[in-house]
Amino acid sequence: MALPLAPASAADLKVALVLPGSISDGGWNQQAYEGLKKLEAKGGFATKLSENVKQSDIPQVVRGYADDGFDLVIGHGFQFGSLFMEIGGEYPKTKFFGTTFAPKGDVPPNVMFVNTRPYDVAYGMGALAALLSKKGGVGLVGGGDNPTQQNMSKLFKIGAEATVPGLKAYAVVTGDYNDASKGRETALTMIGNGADVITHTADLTGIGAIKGAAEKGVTVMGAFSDQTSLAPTLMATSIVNDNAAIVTMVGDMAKAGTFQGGKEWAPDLAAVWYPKYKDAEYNSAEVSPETWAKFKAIWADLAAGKIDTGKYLK
Amino acid sequence: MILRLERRLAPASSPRAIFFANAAAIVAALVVGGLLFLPFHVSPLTAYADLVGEAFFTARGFGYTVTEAAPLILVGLGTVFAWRSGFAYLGFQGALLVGAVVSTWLALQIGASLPFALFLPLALALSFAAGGAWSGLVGFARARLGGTEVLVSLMMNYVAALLVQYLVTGPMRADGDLPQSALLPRSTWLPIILDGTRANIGIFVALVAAVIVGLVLRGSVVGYELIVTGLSPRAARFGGIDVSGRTLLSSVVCGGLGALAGPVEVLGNQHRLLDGVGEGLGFVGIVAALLGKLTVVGTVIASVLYGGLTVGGNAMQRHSGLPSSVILVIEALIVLLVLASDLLRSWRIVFVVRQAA
Repeated sequence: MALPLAPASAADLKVALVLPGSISDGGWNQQAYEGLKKLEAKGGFATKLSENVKQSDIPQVVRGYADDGFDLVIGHGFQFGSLFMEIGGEYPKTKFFGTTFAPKGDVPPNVMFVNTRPYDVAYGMGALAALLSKKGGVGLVGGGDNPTQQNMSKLFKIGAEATVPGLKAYAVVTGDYNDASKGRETALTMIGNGADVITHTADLTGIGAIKGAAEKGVTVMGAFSDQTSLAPTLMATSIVNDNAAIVTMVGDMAKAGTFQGGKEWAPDLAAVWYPKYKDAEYNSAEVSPETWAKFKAIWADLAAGKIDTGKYLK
Repeated sequence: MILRLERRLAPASSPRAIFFANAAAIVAALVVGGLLFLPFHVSPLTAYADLVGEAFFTARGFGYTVTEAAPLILVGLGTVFAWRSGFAYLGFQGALLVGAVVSTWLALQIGASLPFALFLPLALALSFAAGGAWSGLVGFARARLGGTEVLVSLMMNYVAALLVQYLVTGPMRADGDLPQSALLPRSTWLPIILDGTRANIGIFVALVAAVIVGLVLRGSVVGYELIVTGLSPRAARFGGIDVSGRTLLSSVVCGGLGALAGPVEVLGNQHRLLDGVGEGLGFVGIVAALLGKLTVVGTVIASVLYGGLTVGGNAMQRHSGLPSSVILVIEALIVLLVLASDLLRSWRIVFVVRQAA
C-alpha cells in the first residue's frame, strides 16, 4: 500500500506576483515576470500577476491574494518589507516572499526575504573597475536615495581602493533611477576629475551615465542586464542581475518545502549575478585575460565569503 | 432607419432623467470596455461580476472602497466649494500634501502623548489651517493682483511635492531607512470601524465635512453669496456682494478641505510620510466632483463609485489576469461618457424611419 501523496490536480502551487511597475520596463519588473513565466512553463504552478500596483494599493492587492488562498505571494521590491512583517501572522497558510532585505524585527515564520548580496557585487564592481583603470580613477553613478544604494556606493569605493591602492574612486547617489541627463552629467563630472572607468547601479540614470562616458571614450561597465549594445566597443562587461532566477528558485523552494520562512535567504552569488558580454564573460578588446583572472579571484572570494563586506557597514 | 439628435424644449433635469443618463453612460462604458477583454479570452461578464462583487458586496472589499473614497470626497468637496464660487483651483494635490506633512509632524511630535480624541481634532484643524493658508496664497494673488489661478495653483502642486521630497530625504527622514518618515505612533492611527476590514473613521471625517459644506452652500447667506459670485461676478458686485472677499474665502476653504485628505491618507492608510504619498488623489478628487456635477451629494456618490472601481479593478486583475492598462481604460471611458451624458439631458435621440415615396 502506497502512502497517500498530495492530490495530483490540487498539487499546483498557486503563486501570485505583485509588481510595483510594468512587466515591460526592460528591467526589474520585467525580469521577475519572466521568472513567473518560467515557473508556469515548468508545470505544477498556477500563477497570477498584478502589475503597476501603486504604493497605496499594495496592501489591498496582497491581502486579496492571501484571502483567495494563494500558497505563495511574491512582492517584488522594497515596498513589501514592512507590509509582509505586519500581515504575515494573519495568513499562516500563505507564504510571502519579498525581494528585499528583511526589515528590522522578528520575521514571521511564513515570510522570507532575500539578501541578493548587492554589497558583495558593488565591491566586485569596484575591484574590476580599479583593475581596468589606467589613470587611477573610477566612478559609479547610483540611483534612488535609499540605504541599499548608499551602501553599494560605499562598497564600490572600498572595493576599488582596496584592489588598487592609491586609486581614487568616486560614487554618487543621484537620488533618481530614471533621469538619463542627470546620469550623464554625473559621469562627465567624474571623468573631468580623472576617472577613466564608469559604471552604475541605476536604471535609466545609469544608461545616461554609460552613454555620456562612451562619448568621452572611456571604459564602461553595464549593470543589471547585458548592456553591451549601449557602447559595444567600450563596454568591458555587464554585471547581470538575474531576478528571474530568484523568482523561479523561490517557487521551487515553496514547492519542495524548503522555503526558509522567518529568514533572510542568501542565494549563491553566482546564481543571481554574473558577468556577461554578448556570448562571453567579457570584452577581450578592453580586458586582458590576466586582469580578468585577477577579478575572478576576487569574485570567487566574495562568493565564498572570504572577503567580508558586512564588516564595512557596521 | 437613422438616428438623429433633436434638441429638447427644456433640459431634462429631474432626478430620474439624471439617473438614467448616468446609468446609460456607465453601461455604455462597460460595454465598450468589455470589447478589450476579448483578446485576453476573459468573459466580460465574469470580470465585471468580480469588479462589482468585490467592491460593493464583500465586507472586506467595501471596507477598501470607503477607505479609497474618503480622501476623494474631501478633495471633491474642495472642488465643489471652489468651482461653484468661480475659483478654478487645481492645487488640491499640493494642499493634500501640506495636510499630510502637518499631521505627520504633529503625530511624531506629540501624537504619542495625546489622547486620540484630542489628537484627531487638533490634527484636522492644523491641516485645514495649513492647507487653507497654502491655497489662500493663490486666492490672494488672484483677488489682489488678478491673473489666472489655474496655472498658479497647478504649479504649486510641484512645490508641495518637492517640499515633501525634501522633508523625507532630509529633516524628517527615519535614520538608516528609505526616504520616508518614521512610523507614526500607533495611537495616532485612525481606528478601524469594521472588524476584519480596513475601513477607518476617515470616511466619517469625509461625510461630516460633506454635511457641513452642503449646509453652508445651500443654507447660509455666505453660501448664497459664494454661488452668485461664481455664476456672475458682475451681477454679484452690483448686488452689493464683496466679490474679492468671497473669492479669498473660497480659496482658503477649498484648500483646507483638500488638505484634510492628507491626514485621512497618512493617519488612516500609510501611517508615515513618504515620497509619492496620496499620488494622484488630488486630481481624481476633482474628477469625482465633476462626475457628481459639482453637487455635494453627487460628489459623495461619485467618490464611492470611483473608489469601488479602483478596488474592483484590482480584484478583476487578480482573478482574470488582465493587464492593468485595460482597467485604466475602462475607468477613463466611464469618466468620459458620464461627462458626455449631459448631452442627453438637453438633446434626445430619435429614430427616424424613412417613408417609401
